[in-house]
Amino acid sequence: MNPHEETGFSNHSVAPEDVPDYRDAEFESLAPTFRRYTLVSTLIFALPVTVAALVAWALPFIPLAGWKIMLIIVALLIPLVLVGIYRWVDAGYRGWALRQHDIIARSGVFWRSITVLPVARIQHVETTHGPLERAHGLARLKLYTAGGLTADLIVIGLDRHAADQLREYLVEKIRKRDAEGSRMCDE
Amino acid sequence: MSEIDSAWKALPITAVGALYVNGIQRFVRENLIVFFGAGTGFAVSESLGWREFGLGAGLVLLTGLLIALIYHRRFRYQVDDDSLRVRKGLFEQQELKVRFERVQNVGFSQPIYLRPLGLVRVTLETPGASQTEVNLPGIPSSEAAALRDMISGVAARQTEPEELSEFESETANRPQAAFSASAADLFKYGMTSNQIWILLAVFGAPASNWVESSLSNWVDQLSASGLVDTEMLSGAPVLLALFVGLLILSVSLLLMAVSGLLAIVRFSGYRLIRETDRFKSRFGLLDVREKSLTLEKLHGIESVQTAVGRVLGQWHVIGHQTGAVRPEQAMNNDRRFLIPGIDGKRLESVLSTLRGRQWDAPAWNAIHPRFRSMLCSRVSVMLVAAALLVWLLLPGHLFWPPLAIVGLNLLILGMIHLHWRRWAYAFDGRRIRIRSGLFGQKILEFDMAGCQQVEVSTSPYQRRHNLASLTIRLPHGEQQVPYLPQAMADKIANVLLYRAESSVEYGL
Repeated sequence: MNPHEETGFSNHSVAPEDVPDYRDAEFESLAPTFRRYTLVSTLIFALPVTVAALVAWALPFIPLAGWKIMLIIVALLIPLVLVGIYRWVDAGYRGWALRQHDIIARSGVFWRSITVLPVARIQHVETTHGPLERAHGLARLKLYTAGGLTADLIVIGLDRHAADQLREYLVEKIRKRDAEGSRMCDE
Repeated sequence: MSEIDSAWKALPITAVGALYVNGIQRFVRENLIVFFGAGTGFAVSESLGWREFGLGAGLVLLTGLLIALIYHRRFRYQVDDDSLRVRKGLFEQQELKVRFERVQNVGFSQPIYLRPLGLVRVTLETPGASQTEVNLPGIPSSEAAALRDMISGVAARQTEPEELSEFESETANRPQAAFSASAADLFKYGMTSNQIWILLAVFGAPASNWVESSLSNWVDQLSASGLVDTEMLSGAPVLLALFVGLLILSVSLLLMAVSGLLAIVRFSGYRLIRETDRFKSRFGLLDVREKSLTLEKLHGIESVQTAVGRVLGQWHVIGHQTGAVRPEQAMNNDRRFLIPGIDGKRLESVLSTLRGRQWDAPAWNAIHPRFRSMLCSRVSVMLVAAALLVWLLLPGHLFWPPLAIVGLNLLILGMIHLHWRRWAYAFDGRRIRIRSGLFGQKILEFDMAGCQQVEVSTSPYQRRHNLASLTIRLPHGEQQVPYLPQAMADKIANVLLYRAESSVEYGL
């Protein structure tokens, strides 16, 4: 069953095998600039350590031998490099999919997870972008639910234009749903 | 509703008393530590006497009265057809508006000092990230009943006059209770509830101080009197251990009894009443409370059995509504819809009342044994490595510290096994229930349509063995089911999504 062709729901009993499968959804990968963004943001994070390294190297009154300072710095930088590599690989695995009734986000390299949020449960939608994201033409989409912090979904690394479109689309869906809901309440 | 006209109204002047007592109570509760400190200060200091104490207390009481008067003067509320507006504030004015359709719980409370005045305290709870609520500190009980019926949508229908006076008079013809708890049930609930740990935390430290000092006094006296040879006493470690054990046992029994009595006072005469579209519960000896819960806002039913409760076959049930309860409130939360003191035989009938129908729950599916072996091997590797390190690094290669670590390891392994065995799930395509716990157990049961978000996650180890973990986020918090067969996890996720997306087209 292709969920995109589905026109409406009925509520008779359905065998679990006939229910649409979330794994059939076709995932969109993130914006192509997202990889560069992860690299740059990791580098910016590593910058203070590197600067500290160079300064410590140059300062005469640090009582440690040069190679010891070097060792400490390498020990600090190795995790950062690993994190950078992880984020680079993860950027390739991340993805999102929009179905008629829900939005799906995928992430993780070793510990993988797929999160599905029904549109019917979204309370409000928001797109945000920091300066670095702006420079890469990226934005993140935040979907808020009534279930508190843990039930909110944040999709990062979207193309800014796509994020805005997605937001508008979801807002429109929520508006329709709420109008329908209040009509049903009035009846 | 003719009782409530839609104009800005002040609270009745008699409510000042309620505000006053309430305010003082809250002041004391919130500054308990300061009071303890002050009390100790008075006890220790020579120069501070009763006169100073009286002055201080008088000042607090007078300020409280002044605040209560101002608060009352500035408090206004207005009941519209579909909303309640409240204007309040001591220094800055605050205006709140609650739409009735957002209200998920109407709470009544009538402490003993409000009873002669015929006033009731009303609390309206609305869902939010952490629940928000609006209070009417004291309004006439007839008005409160009318307000409750308006909110529940019963106002549209004709309300019998009995129902309005029902809250005041105990003897009015009562509707049939779906569940009522006797004093014995409540006593058992108190004994088994986790309240005992709170009691222990509050009274434990001072009590142990007192016990220690009086014990050492007693031993001193004994040795001084020369009747008993204290040397002999300290030379009998078994006797001493027995004595200490007996002491601990008797203290816990005493605490359990106190906890049981507290539960009787708090929940006295507990009755659960099912009406067409809501539940009501009434209870309390000193503070009579009434809580109501709209049927459609109830989305999770949790049956809890504590470790002691399992021995005694006692359950209590919690009705979950939207809004995450912060963990620090969860222990003794007043906002939860709690049904105490249910014995094993009556549990199913209470559950089907809440559920609205019978449900032949399908058999439990266990969590995959790999969950246990994974946890066991990780913990063991870490602790054995720690034991080895300790053995190598400690001077003299002592053998008992690593042995102690290994013993601890075995203990943890036993607990992992218990935890694994308790964890289970059962679902039939519409409802799902999840059991978890260690010594006690809790079973959460919910309609699949109520789920907010589903997450399927896998670790490399799980992928090798075709397993997955499922996280179901519900309006009140999240539930996990670890180590399911991948196909089962996908199936449950798909059905959850199908139910959530098809049954309720608009959000909660």
